[in-house]
Amino acid sequence: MYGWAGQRLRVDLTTGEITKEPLSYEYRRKWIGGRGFNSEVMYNEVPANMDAFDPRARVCFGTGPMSGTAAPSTGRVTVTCKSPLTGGFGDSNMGGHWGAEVKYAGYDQIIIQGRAKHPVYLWIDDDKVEIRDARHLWGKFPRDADPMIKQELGDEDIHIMMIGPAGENMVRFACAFNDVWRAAGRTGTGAVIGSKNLKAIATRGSGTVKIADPKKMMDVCNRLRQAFKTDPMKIGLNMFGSLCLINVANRDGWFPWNNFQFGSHPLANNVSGESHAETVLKHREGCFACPIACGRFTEIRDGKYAGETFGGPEYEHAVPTGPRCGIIEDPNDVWHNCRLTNDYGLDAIECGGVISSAMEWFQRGLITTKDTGGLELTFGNADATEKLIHQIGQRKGFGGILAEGADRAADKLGLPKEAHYYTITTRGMTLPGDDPRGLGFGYGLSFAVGTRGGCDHLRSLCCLELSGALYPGLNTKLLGDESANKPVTTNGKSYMVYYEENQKATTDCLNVCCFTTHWSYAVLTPDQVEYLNAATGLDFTEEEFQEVGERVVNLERAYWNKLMSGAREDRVPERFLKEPMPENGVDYQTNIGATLPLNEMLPQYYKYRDWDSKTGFPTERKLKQLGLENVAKDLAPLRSKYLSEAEKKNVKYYV
Amino acid sequence: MAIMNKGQAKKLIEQPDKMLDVLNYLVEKKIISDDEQRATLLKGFSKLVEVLQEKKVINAKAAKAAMQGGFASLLETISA
Amino acid sequence: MSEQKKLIYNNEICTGCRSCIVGCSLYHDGECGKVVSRVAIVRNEQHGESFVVGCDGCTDAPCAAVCPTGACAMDPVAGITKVDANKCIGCKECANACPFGAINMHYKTGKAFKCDLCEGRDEGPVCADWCVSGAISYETPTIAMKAKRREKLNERLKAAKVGEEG
Repeated sequence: MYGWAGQRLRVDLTTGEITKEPLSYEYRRKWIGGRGFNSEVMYNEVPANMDAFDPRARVCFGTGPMSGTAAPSTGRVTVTCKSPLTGGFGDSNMGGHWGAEVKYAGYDQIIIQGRAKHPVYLWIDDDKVEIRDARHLWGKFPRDADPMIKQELGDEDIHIMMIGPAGENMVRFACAFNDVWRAAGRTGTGAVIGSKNLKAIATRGSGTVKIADPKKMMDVCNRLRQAFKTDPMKIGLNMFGSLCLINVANRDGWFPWNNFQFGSHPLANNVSGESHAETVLKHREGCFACPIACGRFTEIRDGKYAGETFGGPEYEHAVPTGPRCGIIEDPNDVWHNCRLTNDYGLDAIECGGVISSAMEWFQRGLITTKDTGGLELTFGNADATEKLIHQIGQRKGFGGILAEGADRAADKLGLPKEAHYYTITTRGMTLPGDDPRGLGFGYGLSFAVGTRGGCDHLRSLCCLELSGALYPGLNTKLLGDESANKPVTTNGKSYMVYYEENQKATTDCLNVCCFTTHWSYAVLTPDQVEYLNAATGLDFTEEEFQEVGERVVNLERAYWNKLMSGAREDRVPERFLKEPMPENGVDYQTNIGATLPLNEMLPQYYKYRDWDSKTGFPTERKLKQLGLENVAKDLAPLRSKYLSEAEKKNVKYYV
Repeated sequence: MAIMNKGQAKKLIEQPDKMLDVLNYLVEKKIISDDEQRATLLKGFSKLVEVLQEKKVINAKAAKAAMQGGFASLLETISA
Repeated sequence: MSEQKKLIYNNEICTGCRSCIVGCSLYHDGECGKVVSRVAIVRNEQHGESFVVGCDGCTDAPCAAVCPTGACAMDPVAGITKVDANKCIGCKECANACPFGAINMHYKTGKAFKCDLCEGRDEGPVCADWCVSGAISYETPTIAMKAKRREKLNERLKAAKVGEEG
């Protein structure tokens, strides 16, 4: 078989049963792979009202037909499960090299279900699959457990998916990794994996990916890789990592300062990619087959954390437990916190989010040191932040309450309704370091409607309004409006989000890195169709490619709808709607006074999606068009229920 | 070929997000089919320019101008 | 005869991306995978270290010296040893003899396979062409060493400038 391996691996940790299920042509054509396979399994095998930690719940690891091939950046994996943070659909995507290894071992997807009686890890050695004791690994940081497993199995070249202690402790926003440092950060997949008593999946793959037309494949892959050599976004990312965005964010007012009270800070450059490269950069790193290599390896060289090393950080890794908590003066405090969230296996975005929310509660007198166990949670208190990360990872003390996520924590602490204003969440999940009053109105729209809990930059990743300006004519070609390449305008944004969400979803089905298609635009949809067809020998068109993405988005949306989450929950944190962007001592900040005009864009977006504007549910017509007749049947009785008075009164922060 | 008046074009240009309303107008006037509208929504603006050129609603020169100037240029061309 | 180009490896800047591996395997075998790549990457994830393993183009090549059939022999024009699969008996002596581990046995034939500098490729070896960081480059050793020497001088110049400003 070309492209795909042609089968998925299913492991039941309760019974120990290991099965290999072939994947039919129809299934592969309809869902392509990666996120598509995972979302299909989720919808059909995990009832919407099932508890995320129920042993019967699934966690899926999806690779795609391009995984392990010579197309740009083909190592990524989508991890999908019911989110313990939001209670709804959850997934996350990780880089590294494990995805290629899984493919070489002969699997397009791994589904884990059940719960082991004690901690275990899975050893996938091509077609040999074994469940092994992991009690000696439980409690260990990934950087310690990874070499232990490699030694035990006698092979240092294997690749390992792993969770940290936070996942074992079922912190609701614990994450998964592979190759120690490469995180699938969001929605709490690590907690679900931990709830199954699974520590790791070690993998050795000695196979290859067969290519239908090697010459065509070589031509398109070579053409794209030559283009990357001079691509402006690649150059910035390679030189300075995703931290190359810090100074841009500061200028355009999306830099998260003090829980998004401000969008800039005079000292932002302390944590920029440029500063990082001059002070603590040890190596530049690249994920599998990547022509960009935006990865960092950091070594803290002075101060009390001197000697600490870790893989990373990314922009979104550094800002939440740094500037969002008011920490900027000593960048080593920020790098150290990045290492800590890696060690425990915590979503850095959510971790920094809950801490900065607590800091704002403290600022406004909603909590005191009585609640925090004596911690002075003032913005900028690096010591308290550091202590809290340990507490959260270990589920101890005040951190143990924050480990539930900010909205649940507010309820557990019995805080007034006002506290939820400061959690900065949509559907119970917080946003990454992209203040939509600056970046940008398109992002802001996609925060409201994103299908893995809102406040998520990666459902549309509509960089047409960020890096789009580096590609003159691109916004015109796709949207018919070059002025859409500015973040603080509504021009073209409803269509932009619709287009980019579809594009991103299919990119996630292929499981190639979206930095090649959404930050850098060196790879466009026609290029992806070309390499997909060269690898698989099939005849996808650009329309079909985009339609797969649209199908996946609608399926995920329907999952939320079944949980009575729809138009009323399509919100963005009120701060962005109500508080005009203030100054913060940066005289070149460009978006002073901006608020997000969500309601100017959302109605039009529903029209593009063909979603009913009252319920926010996909129309029956749209679902049938996408071959989702079963979904249309599921939603039919729920449309009027959603509009009932009882449901209207049911205000939900998380499901 | 003029398929709308300047007043209609002006109204469309003034909208921040133009794609859907332009497409709906073209389908209503039977200039493009439902399938062509769908293809444009999936593929983007360049598909619309391609379809209109194929149907000889706009010529090659106007198509090229539209790929430079977007909806502003296109609506100027197809209005009178 | 002018100096021949070799593959030059700089492990300090290797990102571990393995673009070299997918390019090599696709170009030579029409399929993608580490097991059919003539170049390999060794990594330590904990410490973020990468090491490129490829043919060093030895002049007195141990792989050719130990070959019992003459299958592995120096191609004087290319400046690198090549394996003639028709003569190879799969004894693995060349793989054992290579000080770097740059030779492997092919999973389909059991015979030795190694780097041939992408003979016939206009743009030169794929690995060097696709390498993101320049950790693999395709040039003469003289040019490579020139760059290395100037790198040291440039470092000293940079340090001297800092002294002046301070």
